[in-house]
Amino acid sequence: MRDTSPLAVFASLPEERTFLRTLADVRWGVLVTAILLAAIGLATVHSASAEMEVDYLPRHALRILLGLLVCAIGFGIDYQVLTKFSVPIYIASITLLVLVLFVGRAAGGARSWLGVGSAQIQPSDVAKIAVIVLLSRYLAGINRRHLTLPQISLALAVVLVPMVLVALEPDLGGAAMLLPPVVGMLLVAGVRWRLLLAGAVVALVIGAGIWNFVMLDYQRQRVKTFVSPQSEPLGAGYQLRQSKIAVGSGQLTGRGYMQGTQSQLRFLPARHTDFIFAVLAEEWGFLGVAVVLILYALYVRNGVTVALRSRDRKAILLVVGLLSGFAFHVLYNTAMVVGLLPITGIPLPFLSYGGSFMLANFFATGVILGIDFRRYVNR
Amino acid sequence: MKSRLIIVVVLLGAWAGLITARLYQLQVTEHDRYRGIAERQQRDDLTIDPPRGTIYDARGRELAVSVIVDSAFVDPSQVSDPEALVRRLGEVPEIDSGAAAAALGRSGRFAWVGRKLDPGVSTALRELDVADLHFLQESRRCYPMGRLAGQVLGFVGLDPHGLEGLEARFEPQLAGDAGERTVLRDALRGTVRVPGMSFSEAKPGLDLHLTIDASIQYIVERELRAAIERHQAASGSVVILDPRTGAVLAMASAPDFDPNAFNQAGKERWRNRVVTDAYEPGSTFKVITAAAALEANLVDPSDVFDCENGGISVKGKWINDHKSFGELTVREVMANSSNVGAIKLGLMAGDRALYDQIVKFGLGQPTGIDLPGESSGIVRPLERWGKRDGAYISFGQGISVTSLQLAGVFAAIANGGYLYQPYVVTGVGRDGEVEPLVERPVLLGRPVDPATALTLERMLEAVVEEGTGKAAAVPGYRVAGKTGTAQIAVAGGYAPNSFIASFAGFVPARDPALVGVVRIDEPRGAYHGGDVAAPIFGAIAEQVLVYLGVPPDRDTPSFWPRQPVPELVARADADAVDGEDEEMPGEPEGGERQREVAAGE
Repeated sequence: MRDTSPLAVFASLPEERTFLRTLADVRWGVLVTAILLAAIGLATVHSASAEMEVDYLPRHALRILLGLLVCAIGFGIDYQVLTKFSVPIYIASITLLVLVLFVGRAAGGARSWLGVGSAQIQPSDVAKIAVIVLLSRYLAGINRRHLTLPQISLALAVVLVPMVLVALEPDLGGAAMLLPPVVGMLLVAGVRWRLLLAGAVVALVIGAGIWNFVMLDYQRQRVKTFVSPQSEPLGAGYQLRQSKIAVGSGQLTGRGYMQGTQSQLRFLPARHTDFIFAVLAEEWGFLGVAVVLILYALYVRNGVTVALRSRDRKAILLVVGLLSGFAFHVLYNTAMVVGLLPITGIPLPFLSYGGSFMLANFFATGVILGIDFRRYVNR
Repeated sequence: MKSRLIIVVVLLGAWAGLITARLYQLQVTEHDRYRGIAERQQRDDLTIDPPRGTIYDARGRELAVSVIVDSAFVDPSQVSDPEALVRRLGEVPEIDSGAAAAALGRSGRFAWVGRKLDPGVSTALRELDVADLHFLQESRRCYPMGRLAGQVLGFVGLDPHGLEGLEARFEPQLAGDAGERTVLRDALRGTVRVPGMSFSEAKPGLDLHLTIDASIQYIVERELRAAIERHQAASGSVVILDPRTGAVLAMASAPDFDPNAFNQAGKERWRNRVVTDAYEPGSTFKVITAAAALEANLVDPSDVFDCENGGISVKGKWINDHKSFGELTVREVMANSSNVGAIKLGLMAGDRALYDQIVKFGLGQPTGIDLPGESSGIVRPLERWGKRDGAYISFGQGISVTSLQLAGVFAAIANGGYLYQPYVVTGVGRDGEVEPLVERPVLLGRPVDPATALTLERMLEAVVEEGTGKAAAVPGYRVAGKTGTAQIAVAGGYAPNSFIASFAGFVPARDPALVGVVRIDEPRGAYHGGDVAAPIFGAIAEQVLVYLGVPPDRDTPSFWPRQPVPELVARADADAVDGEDEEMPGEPEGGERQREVAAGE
C-alpha cells in the first residue's frame, strides 16, 4: 500500500514535475465552467424569484460559496482515502437513508431531507457519491475484459439498496438518478454490449409486466403521480405546456433578462428549481441556452480528459461515475423542459436552486480536480 | 476501457444533439406559435365601464344613480373541490346553489357566481373567506325612489345598457365613453400589471335633469294606484303638463314596477302608457270638433242646436246619444257631452275643416317627446274618410290618440292657442351644471286663435261647473276640462261592456298652471269618465296646486287641502294606502262628489 497521506503529493513527485507545475497543469477548466454555470444560475434564480415572496439570490449565493469550500475539501482529500473508506462511507449513507425515513422532513410529498437546525441535506445526494466511490473500488479490482454476470449483479445490488430506500421516501425520481452513474461505470468497466442489450429488454418486459398485470389501477395512478406530481393539481400537462410556451417564447436571442413573461407572470411553476432552464430559454433565447449547453459540454469534456490521462483504473471509474451522473442530470432535465421526457423532479446541476445538490456537484468537481492533481502519484 | 469511455461520451453527445435540435425547433421554427399562446394567456384587453350619469328630478332629487358594487366569480379550473365550494356558498341564502354548481361545472377560467350583488350579500360572501371566490367591482344602477316614475326612467341591463325609458333614449349621454386598457395578467388572474400599453381613460356619462317633479309624481301615482284599486280597473295612466311650456311634471302608468327589480315584473308593466297606448278618445275629442266650428266662425257659444231627443240619422245610419237632450246651446252641448250636438257641430264645420283642425292639433303624428316608443295614434287621411266618418270622429270615434297628444291639445287651449312639444328632459350636464339639449319651449304650431281658445276654455269651465265633469272640481279654483267615456275598439266593432274612462283638463282655468289627462281602462262598476276619471283629476289637482303654491282664483270658504302634501317621497307603497281614505273627516266635498257623479254623461 502506498502512502496515501495528503503530503505524499509533495514527497513523491517525479523529478521533472514541480508542485507548482503540477498544480498549474490540473484541468482547471472543470472548475471554471462550474463557476460560470453557477454564476448564470445565480442570475437566473434572481429573475425567476422576482415575483416570489423572497428573493432567493442571497441564499443561492451563500450556497455557491459553500460549494467552493466543499470543492476545496474534495480537492484536498486524496481519492485513495475515499476509496479506502468506501465501505464505511457506504454503510453510513445507508444509515442516513434509513434515518430519513423516520425523522426526515417532508418536501413535495416525500420525506427526503435530513435537517440539523436550518441546514438540510438530502441523503440521496450523499448515497450517490458513496455508491460511486464503492463501485469504483470494486470494479477497478476486477482485472478482466468483460465483467461476469455475478460481478454485475453484485454491483447492481450495491446500488439497489439505496434505490429502494429512496423510493420508499417516496422519491422515485431521486431513486432513478442513482442508476446512471452505475450504468456508466459498468459500461466503461466492461459489460458485453450483448448483455447490456439483453438486460435492457428484460427490464422493459418485466416493467411492462408488472405495470399491466401486477399493479392495480390506483397503484398505477400513484406511480403516475410520483413520476409526474405537478401534472395533478392543475390538470394534465399544465406544467409541460407552460414550459414549452416559455421555451418557445425565447426565439433566437430571448426576451431579455427579467423580461420573460412566462416566468414573471408566474405561469411557469417550479421556475427557480427544476424548470430554471425554461426561464433561461425564455429570457436568453436559443443562443443563450446554447452557451449554457456548451458550458456543460466543456465541463464534461474537461472531466473526460482527466479520466483519459489518468493511469489508475479506480480514478478513471470514479471520474466516469461522477460525470455520468452529472451528464444524465443535465440531459434529463433539459429533455424534460422541452417535452422529450416525462416530468419528474430532477434539478439542473449548478443552475437550479437547491443546496444539497449544489454542494454534491461542487464536491464531485473537487474530487475530479484532485484526481487530476494526483495523476503522477497514483498509478 | 478508455475506448468504451469515448463510446459513452459519444452516445451522450448524440442525446445532447437531439435536445439542441428540439430547442431549435421550439425556439426558432415554432416560435410564433408559442409566442402567440403566451400572448393569449398573458394579455387581456379590458373595457373600463365609465360611471353612468345620474338622473335628477326638477328639484335636483336623485331618481337614478350608479353605485359601485361587488360581483363574484370563480376560476373553475383552479377550484380543487367544487362540491365543498358550493356547500360554502350555500351558507349565503341569497346565492342559488344550483346556479353556483353549474358555474363551477363550466370549463374555462371564468364563471360568474353572482353579478352586481346587494351590499349585504357581498359582505356575507366576503366573510366566508373562501380563497377560490374572487370579486370585482361593477357599477350597478339604483333607483332610490323605487317604483316612482319607473316607466319614465326605464332601466339598465347587466351589461350596462339602457333597455327602456329614458335610460334607453339617452343611452349615449348617460353612458359616457368606455375606457380601454391592455393589461398583462399573471397565472393567478388576480393581480393585474399595467404595462405601457394602449390606454384610454373612461369618460363619465352626463347627468340627466328632468322636468318631472318627484313630489307631483308621487301624488299622481298615489291617486292613480288608489283609483285603479277602487275601480278594479285593468290599467290606467295620468300625465300632468305645464301648459305654458309643455314640460311634463308627472307621468304615471299603472300597473307599475320597480326598476330596481325589473325582471320580476311582467313586460306590460314596463310600458309608459301615456306615450305608447293610443285609444279612441270618445267625448274628450268633442273639444276639437267645437274648435273646428269656432275657427271657421260658423257658431257662437250661445247658438242653439236641436239634439233630437236621443239620436240622429247620419246618411242613413242611426247614431244614439248617451242620453236624450232637447235644445242645447253649444256651451251646453259640451257641458252635457251630447253626441248629437257634437255631430251637428262636426257636420256644420265639414270634413275638411275638421280634418285640418285635427292635424293642426298635432294628432296622427308623434309629439316628438324625448321618450322612446311613442305612438302616433291613428288619423286616417281625409281621402280615406267614409261618408259617415266625419260624424263619428266628431264625438271621438274612428280616430285614436295618446294621452300625451290629448294633453297637448288641452294645453294649447289652456295657454291661448300655442301647441308646445311636451318634454321631460330639461338638459344634461355634469357637476350640477345643466345644458339644454333643445331650446325650450318648442312651438309646434298655433292650432287655434286666442279668441277660440278663450271660448273653448269657458265652455270647458262649464263642463266642470255644471256638466259631466263636476267631480273634477277643486275647491278654490276654477277647473276646465272634458270627460270622456270611450268604447274599446275590437276587431269588427266595439267591446260590449268595457270602457275607457278619461278626463282631460286644466287648472286654474283662466291662468293655467297644469294640464292633465287621466285615463282609466276597463273599470268595473262605474265607467263614465265623469265618475271614474274626473275625481282623480280633482284629487291630484288639489294637492299639486297647493304644492306648487298656486293661489286660489275664486273664493271658497270651505277650501282646505284634502291631504297633507308629502315632503319626502322615497317610501312610496306604505303611504299609498292613505290615499284610499276617501271620506276624511272634515272633507267638505267627498260625499257630494260621489252623489253628483251618479248622473254621469
